[in-house]
Amino acid sequence: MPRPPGRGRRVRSRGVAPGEYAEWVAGYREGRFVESARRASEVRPEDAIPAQRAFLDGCPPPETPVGFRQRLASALLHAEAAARFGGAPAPGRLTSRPIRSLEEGWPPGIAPEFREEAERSWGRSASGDLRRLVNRELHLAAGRMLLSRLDLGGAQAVFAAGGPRSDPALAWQQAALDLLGARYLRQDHLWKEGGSALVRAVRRRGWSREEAAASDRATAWAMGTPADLHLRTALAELGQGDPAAAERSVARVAEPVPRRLLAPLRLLAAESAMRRRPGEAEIPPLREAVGAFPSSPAAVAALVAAMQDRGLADAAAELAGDFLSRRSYETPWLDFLTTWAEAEEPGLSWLRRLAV
Amino acid sequence: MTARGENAPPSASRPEGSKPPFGSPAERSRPVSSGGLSRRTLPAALRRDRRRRLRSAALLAALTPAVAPGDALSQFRVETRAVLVDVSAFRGSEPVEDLSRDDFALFAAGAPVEFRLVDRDSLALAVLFAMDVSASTAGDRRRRLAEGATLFASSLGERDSCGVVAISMAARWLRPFGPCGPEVGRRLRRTAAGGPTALRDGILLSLAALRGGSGRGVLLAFTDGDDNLSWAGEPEVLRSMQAAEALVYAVIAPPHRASRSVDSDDRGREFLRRLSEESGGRTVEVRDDRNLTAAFREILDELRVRYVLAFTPPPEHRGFVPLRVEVERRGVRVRARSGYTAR
Repeated sequence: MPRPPGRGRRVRSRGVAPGEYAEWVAGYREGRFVESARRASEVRPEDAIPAQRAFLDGCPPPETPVGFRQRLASALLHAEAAARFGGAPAPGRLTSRPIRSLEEGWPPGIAPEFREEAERSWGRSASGDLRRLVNRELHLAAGRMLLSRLDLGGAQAVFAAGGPRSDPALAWQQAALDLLGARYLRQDHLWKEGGSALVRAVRRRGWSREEAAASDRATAWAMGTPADLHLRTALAELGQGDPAAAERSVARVAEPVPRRLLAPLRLLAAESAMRRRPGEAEIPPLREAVGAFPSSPAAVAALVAAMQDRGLADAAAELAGDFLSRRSYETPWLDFLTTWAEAEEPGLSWLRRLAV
Repeated sequence: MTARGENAPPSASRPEGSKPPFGSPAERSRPVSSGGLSRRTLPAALRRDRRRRLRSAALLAALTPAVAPGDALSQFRVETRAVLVDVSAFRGSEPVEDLSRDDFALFAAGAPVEFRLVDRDSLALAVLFAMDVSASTAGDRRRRLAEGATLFASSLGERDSCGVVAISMAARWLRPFGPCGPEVGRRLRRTAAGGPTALRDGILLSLAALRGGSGRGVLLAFTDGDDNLSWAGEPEVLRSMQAAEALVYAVIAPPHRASRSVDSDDRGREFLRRLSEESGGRTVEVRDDRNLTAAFREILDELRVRYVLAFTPPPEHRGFVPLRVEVERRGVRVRARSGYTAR
């Protein structure tokens, strides 16, 4: 995994001429996405703000296709710059200002398939307001790309820039990130907040379970899947030192379990049991998880731990030795914690096509 | 334009194609396999393996000379499972090397227990180097780490065995158990650095795998203390150390700031200190990578002057049993494992 983007990058302080800024946007709209984003990342956000303002002032009205696309491209430019090259804190105003200037409705001239795709990802109700939709997609994509690289601080800044209060998907993503930070950065105060925020966000989501099940957006899917909420709730309860409550949350997960939740389910069940009393973790469910994900370090570690707790040290040694001989691995546990964030998010692809 | 456009950054350190995109037909349709471990693993895991027999035989050979011929009760005690307690003794910072059996007292669950003083040179060592190879250990640090590991491995004996595990996002053998020597350092030097570190998972698996070596198990870990996203918590790793009855030493270097993705605090290093001390070992912290080789030498020297007590656990012991070692010599302090797990 590469170093987090932007670490150690030196960003020059200089003014950005309106013409130069317009070139960046034009380059982005011509498909030179990463190159344009890199150029934007080489100046400090505060140096780009005046140029962006001038650019936006000169755009056609936002209800026209060109005006819409230029504003979207301007926002995307900086979102990709933050996601790929990081460095300075996410340039919130640079991503949110162009989007705030958009209209809610879909401009005429935008091909209908874009809206159809959006409805497949987010449901009809949550796709009606284009401004909200674009804001959500842009900040989710950029933040999740940072999350896929474990840049938690960068991801947090991007989600915050999108305005989680106004969008349940951003609120959910922020809360899921808080739980990750609580567990691995020992930010214990986030356990309770994160757990509560997850529940609130799910209640506000605006798309059905059926729409969630058909979505290709991990955030939408997770928010519409009760099993996911039960497991993240269990995670929060473990973090708050309540393994009994975590066991109850895990027990609420109905079978059959989606494949991507199988390992988290078994691992959280094992952890809950172990925390109550070592030797309590059931081995067959962990064997099932290892059977499904034989190269998952977390699943194998959990099974080894459970075996050792039960006095099966030789079997545990054999299993551990076999695992150490593997040359590739899969990460269902990490994927769950990072909400299946990807280095190239599908939302970014959709936005790019919309902006060109 | 494909999703992976021009200049797309490298993806996470997982093999390409190992995970289909979220929501794709391939990702959704992969069946959940149930049925547990492979046949290869389960039957093999339950067999009495050759390596374990060798280890038991080695221990038995070390203890047998002390048994009086024809003493059936003593012979019975020798052949039951003995618990080893490695003890380091110091006066000030200097090791004390002239203690005899009568200088020690051993207590289990607060009660004195009979024990023998084992000739440490009769015990082969099985040393597992568990090395953090994440991005933070790259470059000159890795070179010096390899030098230290080479020094250590090359100083061990013919009966000793060495293995090397690389720990990054997952743990893997760089070299399974085999003769000790410079190959240890060579393997470490050649391994690419990258990615974050699932340290606790890696150490837990290494501790379990240590049982596969033939000899007194020693885990020698190196890290800068960062842990990103292990499943195992500290209690699980501590129990794994107790189950493995391993002696744990750790060399800790300061983290490189520039490599941090997930922020870390000192708790990762605190945990390693605790893990090693609970096992009877210790942690050597270096402030400068130039001291890495010296850190390995320090641990090697301590292993060479340690004492090894052996006792047969009373049948009534169950679960974790605290141990205490005392020395009846003025000014001498000792360090030993905090307890053992009775079955």
